[in-house]
Amino acid sequence: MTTFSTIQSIQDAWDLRKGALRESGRQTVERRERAVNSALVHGLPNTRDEEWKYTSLRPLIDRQFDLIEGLRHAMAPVDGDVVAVVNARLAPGAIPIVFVNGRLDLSWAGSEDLDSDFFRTLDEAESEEDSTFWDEWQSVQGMDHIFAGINAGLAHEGVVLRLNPSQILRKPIHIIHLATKELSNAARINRVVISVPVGASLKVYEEFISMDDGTFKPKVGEWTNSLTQLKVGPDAYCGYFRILSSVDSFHTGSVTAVLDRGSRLETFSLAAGSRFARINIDVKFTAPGAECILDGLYLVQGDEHVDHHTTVDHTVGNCKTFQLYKGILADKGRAVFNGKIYLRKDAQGSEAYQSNKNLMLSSEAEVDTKPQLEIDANDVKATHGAAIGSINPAELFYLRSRCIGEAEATAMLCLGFAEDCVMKVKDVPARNLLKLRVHEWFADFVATHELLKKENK
Amino acid sequence: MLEIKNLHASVDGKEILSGLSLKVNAGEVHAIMGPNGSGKSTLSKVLAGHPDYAVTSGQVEFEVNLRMKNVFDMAPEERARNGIFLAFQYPVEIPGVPNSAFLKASYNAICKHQGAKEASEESFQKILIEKCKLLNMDEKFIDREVNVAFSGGEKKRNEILQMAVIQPRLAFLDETDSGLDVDSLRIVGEGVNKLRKKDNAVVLVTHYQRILNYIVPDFVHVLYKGRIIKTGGKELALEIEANGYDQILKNFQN
Amino acid sequence: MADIVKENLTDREYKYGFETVIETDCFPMGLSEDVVNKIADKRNDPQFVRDFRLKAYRYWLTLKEPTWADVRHPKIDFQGIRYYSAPKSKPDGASGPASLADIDPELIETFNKLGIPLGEQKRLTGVAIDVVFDSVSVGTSHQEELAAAGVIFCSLTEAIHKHPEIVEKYLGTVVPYKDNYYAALNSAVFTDGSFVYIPKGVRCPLDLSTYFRINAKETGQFERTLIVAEAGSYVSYLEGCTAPMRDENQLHAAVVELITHDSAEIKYSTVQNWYAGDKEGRGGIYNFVTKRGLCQGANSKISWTQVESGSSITWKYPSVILKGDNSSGEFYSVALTNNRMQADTGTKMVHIGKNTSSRIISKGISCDQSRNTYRGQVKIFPSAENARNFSQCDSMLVGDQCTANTHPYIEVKNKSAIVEHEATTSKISGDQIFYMKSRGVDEEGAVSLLLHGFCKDVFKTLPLEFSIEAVKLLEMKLEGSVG
Repeated sequence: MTTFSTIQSIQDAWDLRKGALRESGRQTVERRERAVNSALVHGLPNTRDEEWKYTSLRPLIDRQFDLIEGLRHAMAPVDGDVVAVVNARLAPGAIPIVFVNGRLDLSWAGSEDLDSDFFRTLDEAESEEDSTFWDEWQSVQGMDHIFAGINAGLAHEGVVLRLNPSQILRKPIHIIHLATKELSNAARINRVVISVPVGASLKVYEEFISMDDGTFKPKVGEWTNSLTQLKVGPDAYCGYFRILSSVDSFHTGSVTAVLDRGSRLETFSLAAGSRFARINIDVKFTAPGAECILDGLYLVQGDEHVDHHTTVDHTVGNCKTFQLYKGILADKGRAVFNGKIYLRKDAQGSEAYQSNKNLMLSSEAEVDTKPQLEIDANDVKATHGAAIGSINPAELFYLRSRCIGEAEATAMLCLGFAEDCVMKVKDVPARNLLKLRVHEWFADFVATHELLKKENK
Repeated sequence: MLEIKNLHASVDGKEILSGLSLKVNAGEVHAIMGPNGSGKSTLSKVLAGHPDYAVTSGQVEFEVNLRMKNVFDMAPEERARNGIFLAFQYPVEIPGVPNSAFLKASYNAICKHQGAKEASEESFQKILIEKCKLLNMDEKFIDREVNVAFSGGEKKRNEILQMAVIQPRLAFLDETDSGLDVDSLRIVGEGVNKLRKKDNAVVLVTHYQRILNYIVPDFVHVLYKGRIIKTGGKELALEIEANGYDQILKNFQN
Repeated sequence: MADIVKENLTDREYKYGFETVIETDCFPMGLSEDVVNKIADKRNDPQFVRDFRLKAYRYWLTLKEPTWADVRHPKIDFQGIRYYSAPKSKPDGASGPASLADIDPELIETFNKLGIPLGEQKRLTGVAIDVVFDSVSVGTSHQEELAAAGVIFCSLTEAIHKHPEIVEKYLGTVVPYKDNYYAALNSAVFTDGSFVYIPKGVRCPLDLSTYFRINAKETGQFERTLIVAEAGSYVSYLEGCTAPMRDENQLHAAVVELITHDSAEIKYSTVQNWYAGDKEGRGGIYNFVTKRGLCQGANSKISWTQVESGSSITWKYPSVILKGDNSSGEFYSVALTNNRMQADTGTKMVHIGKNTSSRIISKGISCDQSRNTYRGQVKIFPSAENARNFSQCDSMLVGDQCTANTHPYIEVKNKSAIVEHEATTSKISGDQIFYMKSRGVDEEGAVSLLLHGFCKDVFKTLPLEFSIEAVKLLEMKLEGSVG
């Protein structure tokens, strides 16, 4: 049985996977096995575990996703016009890297921008005896987080991007994970390793979408288990903007980032469509003077469930974290936010600011938020806050007194609430892309919610 | 009332004051000027007894009850109670503590030190309001938390309000004028003047001549590399304003 | 409470660490169904209390010690504790002294030392006091005045015998014996505590106060307090605690239940100064307490204020269940930890009724090598239209060896709710102290000002006299940690 249900099923999937991996070298098999073992050591989490208090794995287990079938499907030819869909989503001027049903589509990767030396497939990288790569490979913080571990062990395909020192890549890289209906009820497991060495600069968009016969809301129902590792070297910059907009999807995403001296990481996680999503983002400062922006927005409707868990670990001094997560909850949607910031003994001189704000549009919705500060150093500045509320009546009244209808005013206030954090993104092309996705979500949201429909005159 | 003899002081092992001498008598106004890094702020901190500054040699004596006493024998609060006041260049923010409570604690500490009766809540409130009026300050100052969310100018004015409450014999104003707009500068300048008496003295540490238009100095000293290298009357400040320090430094180096 | 703290400000050592040598009637160590039955025998429990104990005990056996709190301690040996200890001056052993005159003079001396005058001629004005020594209540003052107002204020033991119908109606309704590990344990072995009943429409003429003292060695204290406020009534209740200094840890697992009916209000204030152990963390009280109030009626209000400065470990979350429409709950807390103390404390505000509101102000001060954690939950049920919560949780760190954590859990299931949580952290810096010194304020005064500033939102909710004592207690504890 390799259907995701028990620890044994994962073990079985690994045993099957292991055989196929033997050719790639002993190193790979050993390291992957270690990853699987450390992930499984605590068993499958349940809601009695603090980390999973508000998110049950039941929906994922009930769907009986097959950890190995996914691989087989990835090899199958795909119906439909993948090129048109991808082109429609691709950010202007971006370098595309496209996974279709978990398989790296090298026809996109072959573009002139990508044949340079910074691009390799995970397979290529794993079969080399490259110690730098293995360092990066291992830099998964909290490998005992079950889905990061499953990914590290079972990953089908992936890419490794490593710039040269001081290399500044002006064009953003747009990684698109596309799911088609061939993938329904299968798991795809992909890994992205990104290394931005000393003085270099890189921007990456990573987007999860699905397609079928051209309907606006494709219902594919795939499970994506992704792992994205970011290593940001001294004085380097990395922008990482993540978009999840696959309405029927199951998603377990892990992002880990390790920041070296004087580096900057800017991240944004937009969740605008997913039936069940659990996203873990872990950031670790390993040398002083680095800064991290960790922002996000979740837009939850229907019976969607979106859970963000973030951890920022200040193990060294004089680093800064700025975090703002916002969320809109409609219908029976449910959102979970857990943001941990650790300021360890040696984190003197650090600053951390964390805020989580939620807009509730329905009393059937639920939000569970837990901002969390753990402070062992006294010379630090740290604040956190959480707020939950609905449309502000004073604001609504003000707009209405300026001739705007109630529905339109409500929609304006919702969009304003959401855009507020998107507008903070400093990088203009990234901000535009995120804004576009938020607007797309809103157009659909307004069309399907009476509350927000403009009255026709 | 104050005599500094051959003062050497260092911070983090680096010598900043290297043989500074200065004498201040009651009723006088002194201005200490000098380029950045000459030791102006260090002198202020050393006089107030900041723990980060180490005195390596030299003497500072201050007149207490008609006798000269070694300042270094006194803890910072004792110096303050005996009449030495430092207006901080960067006043410290103290969240949660209201200005009124802070000033009252300070006022009563001095009352107690002088053997006078401590002020009641009511009578102190009156004193505060009177001081605010005298200095042309908004009474809202009183209820705000000490320096929290104060603008630069407000912080400096708060220092002068404290000076008005404490009524020191020797006021050391450390760059109280820097960062002030013209109006604040006038208020601070006039405030200090109103607090002047024949038995107290003021030492202004400043970069600029402009505050000296309000508080006219009897002596102007130029501080350089931790020593006073030139002393003159108020015209010296005007000369510096016009020509900078270059000429003076050149003469000194020759 | 009045003079407890005043006496010796300069001495940072624990002032109440003396032991009273008194003849006691105590059980051998260990816990079994037999012991539970013996406690019931000893106290002449009616059947409903005995049944409650046994159910709780059997349930407790099925539980595991909770591990989620951010505290570390060696495993507690529940067989190494005595579950009953009482001063031996009572012939019947169950119903307490007939009058205060019956109390052992040694005991009166103890409480005089603690600043709690028990003798009728010396009693505090305006405050009625119940005193609990180890397992039993030793006397309650001001009985006549309270009786005139119809207020019942006595030991729980006395209440069980004199007012069984009220006790039976409410016991275990707010904190069921199944609530948690320590509540189950308490339900099985509780020995005494205070009982308050305020009849309809009565504003209690006096502040009521209970003073808890652990004296006997190797003894756990498992008291249980029950306060019922009928419609339109009001009571302010104060609680103080001390214990002798001992090298071993002692367990204190209390349960407090409050119930307010329509428009009633209970204000519950605690100054907790159990022995906290020495500098190396040896000894001290494990304070594992379940405190909960139920706003049963519309427009009712429950307000908790706590100043937590003692105990080697504190595990305590005074909570309010806001069931009645328009009811409100408040939690004001100052928790100071020094040396190697550990505190994991906070509150739960459970909004069920419409227009319910809650307010949480928590101030944690950690010094030396201590751990200070705020853990709080705000839960808005779908039924709680227009619920409001505001939480402010601030930490102050003194020195660079301590830890301050904030764990708020916010669960909202109604869109009309407005919930806000804010937290900040600050430190007492050398610069601040120096600045104040340079204005003539000495170090003690400077620390006191900072402390006042940091905690003022909590102190102002305490009754005046209590608040002065609380400040002094904290100043005394802080001395030597700042500098």
